[in-house]
Amino acid sequence: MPYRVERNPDLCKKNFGRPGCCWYLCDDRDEKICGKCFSCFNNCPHGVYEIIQGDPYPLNQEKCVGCRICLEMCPNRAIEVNAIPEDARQGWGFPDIVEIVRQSQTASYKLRSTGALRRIPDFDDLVVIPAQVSRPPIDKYREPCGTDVVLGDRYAENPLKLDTPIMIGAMSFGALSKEAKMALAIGSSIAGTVTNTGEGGMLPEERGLADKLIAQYASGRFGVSADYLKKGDAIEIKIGQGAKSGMGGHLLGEKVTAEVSKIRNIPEGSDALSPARHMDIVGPEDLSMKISQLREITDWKVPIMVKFASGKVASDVKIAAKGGADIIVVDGMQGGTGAGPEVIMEHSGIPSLASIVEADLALKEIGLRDQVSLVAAGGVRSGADLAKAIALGADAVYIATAALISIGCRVCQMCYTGECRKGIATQDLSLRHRLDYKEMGKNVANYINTMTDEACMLVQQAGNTHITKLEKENLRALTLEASALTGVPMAGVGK
Amino acid sequence: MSIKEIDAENLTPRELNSQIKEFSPQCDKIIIKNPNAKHYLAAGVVDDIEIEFDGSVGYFAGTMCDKAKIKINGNSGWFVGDNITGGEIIVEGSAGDGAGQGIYGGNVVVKKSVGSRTGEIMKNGTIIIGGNSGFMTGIFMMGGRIIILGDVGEDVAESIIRGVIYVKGEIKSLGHNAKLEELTFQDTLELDEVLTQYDFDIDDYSNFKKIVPKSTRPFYGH
Repeated sequence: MPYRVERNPDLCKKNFGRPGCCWYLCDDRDEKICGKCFSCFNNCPHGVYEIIQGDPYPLNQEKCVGCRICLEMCPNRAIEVNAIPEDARQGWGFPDIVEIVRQSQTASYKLRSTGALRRIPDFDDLVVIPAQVSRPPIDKYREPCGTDVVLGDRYAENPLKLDTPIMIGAMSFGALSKEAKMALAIGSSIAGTVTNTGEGGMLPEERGLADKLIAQYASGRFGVSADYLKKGDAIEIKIGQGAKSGMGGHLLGEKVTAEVSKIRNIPEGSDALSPARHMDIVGPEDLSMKISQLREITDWKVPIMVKFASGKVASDVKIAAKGGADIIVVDGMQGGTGAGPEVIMEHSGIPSLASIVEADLALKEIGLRDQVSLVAAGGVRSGADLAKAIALGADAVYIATAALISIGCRVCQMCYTGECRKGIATQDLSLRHRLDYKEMGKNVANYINTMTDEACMLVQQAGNTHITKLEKENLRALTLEASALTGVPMAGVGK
Repeated sequence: MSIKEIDAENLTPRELNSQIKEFSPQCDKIIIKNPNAKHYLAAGVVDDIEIEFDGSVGYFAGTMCDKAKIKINGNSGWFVGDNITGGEIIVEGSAGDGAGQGIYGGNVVVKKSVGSRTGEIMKNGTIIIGGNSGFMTGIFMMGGRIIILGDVGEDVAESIIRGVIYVKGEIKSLGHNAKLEELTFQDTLELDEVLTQYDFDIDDYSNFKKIVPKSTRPFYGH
């Protein structure tokens, strides 16, 4: 949807006792520079603003995605950003036209971050039905609700024992700053859960701060060694991710600094483009062998996870389960990324709702549902989403974009440029200084704890005493699409 | 020198690996009889130890070892020396596809020929192949060097962004982002040093070809 950005010149010129643009954690306060505020111009990730005769003006409105970072960082509250109704012309929306113009001028496909942004069936299309007389509700204020889960106890000596079924998904060092990785590690530890290295190797600081850490094993094998795997509390074989199914990781050269280069062992400034498939996993037997190989290296101690982009879910899940996986992750098309082609994000994969149900059913069909843990990923935002994911068949969920929002992300979709104004998706030291990782770590924990609490409310009002006890029969669908995708009956037609 | 001998005839890979890891901190060398081409042997050994397999090994032999020096008196299956970070692996016979896949350091030496995709996604270290190497040798290579003393197949160094491949024999074709470069005197000195170390006797380096990347950003570069 297009946005209208307005700057109030009178407010902009006022001085409210704060210095200029750099009031937002400035390292180099210079009175002369501070007198002239260019915060909106400097902080807009999309180049909406231009300086005309010494003042910033939002001239390039078509570039605005509504992240409102300019508004948030304006010291004088001089900016308004409002969505305006789309002026669709026979299906030719304004964003379509802008993109066609861009492609015709640059001859390049669009790269961006995040995942599918268009409307597709999601957790909001389902509701949890309350218990009343046929089954009494549980008192949220007086009766307990269990939230602990054990994942991956099929073969591993040391399964993941978590206080909440909310885990932090894979986001690499490189895609994220060191401070962001540390904040996520702190938050996961306070909340009693686990975070994930992503495919960029393991930061010593991250390992030090995270009580539990999943070591991801992706096709580029960045930072992988016996030491790396043995330091993990679980190993996640990344076959694919929902945001860019069928493609490997993208870390553009702008973010491959000396430190990232060292930990990944790739040239500084080069693009880290992981292969679309593991070079040694091109069929079911290969995956089984890979799982066995990683078990041998880690002495059968930690769970081996397999993560898929949701596509042919039933087949992939059965292959992984029969191949010996302890935990399977299905990442729906709402899953996010730091960089990827838009055409893949919007037009490949299946919604998270559908993938959970299909994966759960596949495990039941082969008689391994009780042995293999199922993790749902892609578009989980709230306790309600968590409760519904579990009711559909998941044992736990991943959050990633949502975790970044809790530490300041505003989904501007420009992570790949390496110029994140919040110090999250950048390696630029001056921007990284903006992120107070200790404080933000608390935010992550607050968010996870609140999500868990919200989910418990839904669990208890549905008459259950443990978060894992929600079942599909506790749900009703509000839309035909969600009902068809999940097999959940439409509201009002239940028995 | 303390030497431990293990007969692997009736051991599973898990049982054998468990014994190797139990004994490796305590002795200087482990000799394994009857490996019988089992997979994942000596996986993840990080002690400074010599391990000798008296026979052929299966897939992923020596995977992710660090300081260990492994000798295989036979042939190896796919992905020998996968992702090692140091030490060395010597295969006296031939090896399958993906020899030295993803190594970060150390040396992987195969005295005879190997299959395809040798040294794929390797980041550093050295791979030496005494015979021929198949198609897409050095695919997605990100560093290190590969030395092929025989011929090499199609699309050598496909999508390479760093590192170097030396080929003594014929090159069928170069991959995307690969180019030929003149061999320097320094190259010949370094080649001679490492080849002599592994008992390869080369008199003349003039017919070696050197393959390097065209660009470090072949896809999104400017």
